[in-house]
Amino acid sequence: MPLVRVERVSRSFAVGNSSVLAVHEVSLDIESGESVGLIGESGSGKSTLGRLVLGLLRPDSGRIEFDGRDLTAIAPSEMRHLRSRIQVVFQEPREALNPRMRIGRILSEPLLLHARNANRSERQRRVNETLEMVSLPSDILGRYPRELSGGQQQRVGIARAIISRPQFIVLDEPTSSVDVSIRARLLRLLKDLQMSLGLTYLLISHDISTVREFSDRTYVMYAGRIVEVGRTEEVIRSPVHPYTRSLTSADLSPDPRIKPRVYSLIESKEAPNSKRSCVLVGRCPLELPACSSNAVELRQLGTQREVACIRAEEIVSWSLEESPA
Amino acid sequence: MKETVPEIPNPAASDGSVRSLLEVHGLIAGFHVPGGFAQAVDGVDFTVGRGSFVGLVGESGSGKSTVVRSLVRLLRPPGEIRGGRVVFEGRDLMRIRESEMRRLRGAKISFITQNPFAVLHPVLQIRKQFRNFIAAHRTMARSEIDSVALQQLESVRIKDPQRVLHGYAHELSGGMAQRVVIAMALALKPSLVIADEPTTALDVTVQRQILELMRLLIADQHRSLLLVTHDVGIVAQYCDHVVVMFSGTVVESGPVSRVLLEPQHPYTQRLLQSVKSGLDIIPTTDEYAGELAAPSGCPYRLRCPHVMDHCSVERPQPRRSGDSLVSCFLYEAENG
Repeated sequence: MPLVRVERVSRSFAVGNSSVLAVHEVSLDIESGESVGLIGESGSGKSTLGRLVLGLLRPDSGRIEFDGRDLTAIAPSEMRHLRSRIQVVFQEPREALNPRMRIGRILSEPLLLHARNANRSERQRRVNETLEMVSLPSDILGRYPRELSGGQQQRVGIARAIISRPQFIVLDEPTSSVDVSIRARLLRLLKDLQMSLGLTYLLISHDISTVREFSDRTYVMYAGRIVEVGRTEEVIRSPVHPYTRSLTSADLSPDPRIKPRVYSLIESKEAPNSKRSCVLVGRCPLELPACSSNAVELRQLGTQREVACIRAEEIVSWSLEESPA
Repeated sequence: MKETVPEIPNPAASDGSVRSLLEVHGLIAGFHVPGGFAQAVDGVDFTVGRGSFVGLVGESGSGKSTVVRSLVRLLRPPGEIRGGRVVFEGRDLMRIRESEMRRLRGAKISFITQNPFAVLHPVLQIRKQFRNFIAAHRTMARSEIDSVALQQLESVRIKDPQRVLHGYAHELSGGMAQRVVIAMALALKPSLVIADEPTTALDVTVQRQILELMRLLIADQHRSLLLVTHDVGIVAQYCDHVVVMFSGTVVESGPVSRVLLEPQHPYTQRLLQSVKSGLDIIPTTDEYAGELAAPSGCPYRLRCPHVMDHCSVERPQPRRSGDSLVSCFLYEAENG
């Protein structure tokens, strides 16, 4: 049984007199110990999905289970208890860390909630132990977040997430506010922590290169829907859905000898309509009349891939022809 | 401001190749801050050859945007250019009159920025903006300008150019708006185009189209491009030369095939390693930033795995290493 199970979940938000469907009938499974990527551009609904999985938002319809329990029908007291097992690392540590608290207080606060029986010295020991796990010096405890570099701040964010010894962590763009050289080291740290603490991750990112080596499987989201799922390496190496193809073609190799193909979408000023049969209607270079009449569902393609495109098999056959390299 | 810039031989000219379109020598610029002057650009040298696509890469805060704004003298207070020469088509842009500089900007040197909506006027018709822009540089009849504008919009592959011409910026998607900016930037056939992160603000799904378009319209017309980016992949795929900046200085420059495949400077090596391998990376201490730029010596010495005693004594000067120029004492010893 997966640790996290999301089943046909939808969530909309009221905007003026109308409503925007941010997440539309999304299903997603995360096995215990797995690292799953969720990629999409801003506005795709990926952060809303993250908040639904965290139990911070309620879905309009569908079920969200954590370790067999339905988060949408759980008593608040039990939810509080579950919170120590489900944690989050946010994109902007500067905003996620209370500017008026010293690091020591920021880190011991979750213990006051989740490890109530621990006394002061036990809490202190746990804080020091956790600092060491994220490679921060202990003199940092007396400092305020603003006195730290961006990379250090995010290490504090990670320390705060792991201090209650959770099973599952949602990483919401954890490296998008730092430079590339620091990004790699934060990802390495998160990967090491996953090994040593047996963590399960959902990594939300707009950037394919972040999930590339980090996630076992990746979900690609566009306009509130999942358009493609598969083993991360395969999704990136041989993307099938036209949206995934355009996303991967923007991720250019630093090796000038590797010349990737250009797959682009048709530009549109209109916001994508997640209620349409296919979310890419109007932007897809491979569009057929059938795309706007038939309901396009995510369907199995081979053993480890699911794609929401009626031309998926055709696209696979082209890629076989065009990539002898 | 007294000019005390040492003469640096032009690397392109020194091996007898064609004279460069743009030569930057010892550029120093920065910002007045409470209690002093923060030197964001600290003696930068590089050249852009005719018809060349040069990538200027560096992480945020490396000074790359300050460099390009200084080149066209668009660094506004509290920013200030404190020294250096910027020789464009044989003339030092730091010494010409502002009126002359204005004539060059947009006509001979044009600028494409990250956000097209900050460039396009929100309440003027696109056609009117073309008219204003072209009329500032050329004496042309309106009808003539309109037909140039139409041609330009066609050249950037805008589907319905008539409609766009009579419309407004807010009716355009980000990618379309950037196409309009490119159309305008190229209208007067500049010999140098400076683009500062031109695709960073666009949807990922249209970024490649814009880059392909720039390649087609700039490189293939034998114009030069100075492309500022943090994305090494873009440099690898679209540029022929690269200038790598760290902390206000150029640490390495040369042909893309050389610098990206056989990086020499420890910083370039590290940057490429971070981009390529994602997770497999040698730990260093460079996260503990926040220290001010090194007052003397090599700016990278506090983070460098190969640091030597000499690195804190003196600033390494650019030395030729193969086809590249590298500012590092590791290579100085080799060359004698």
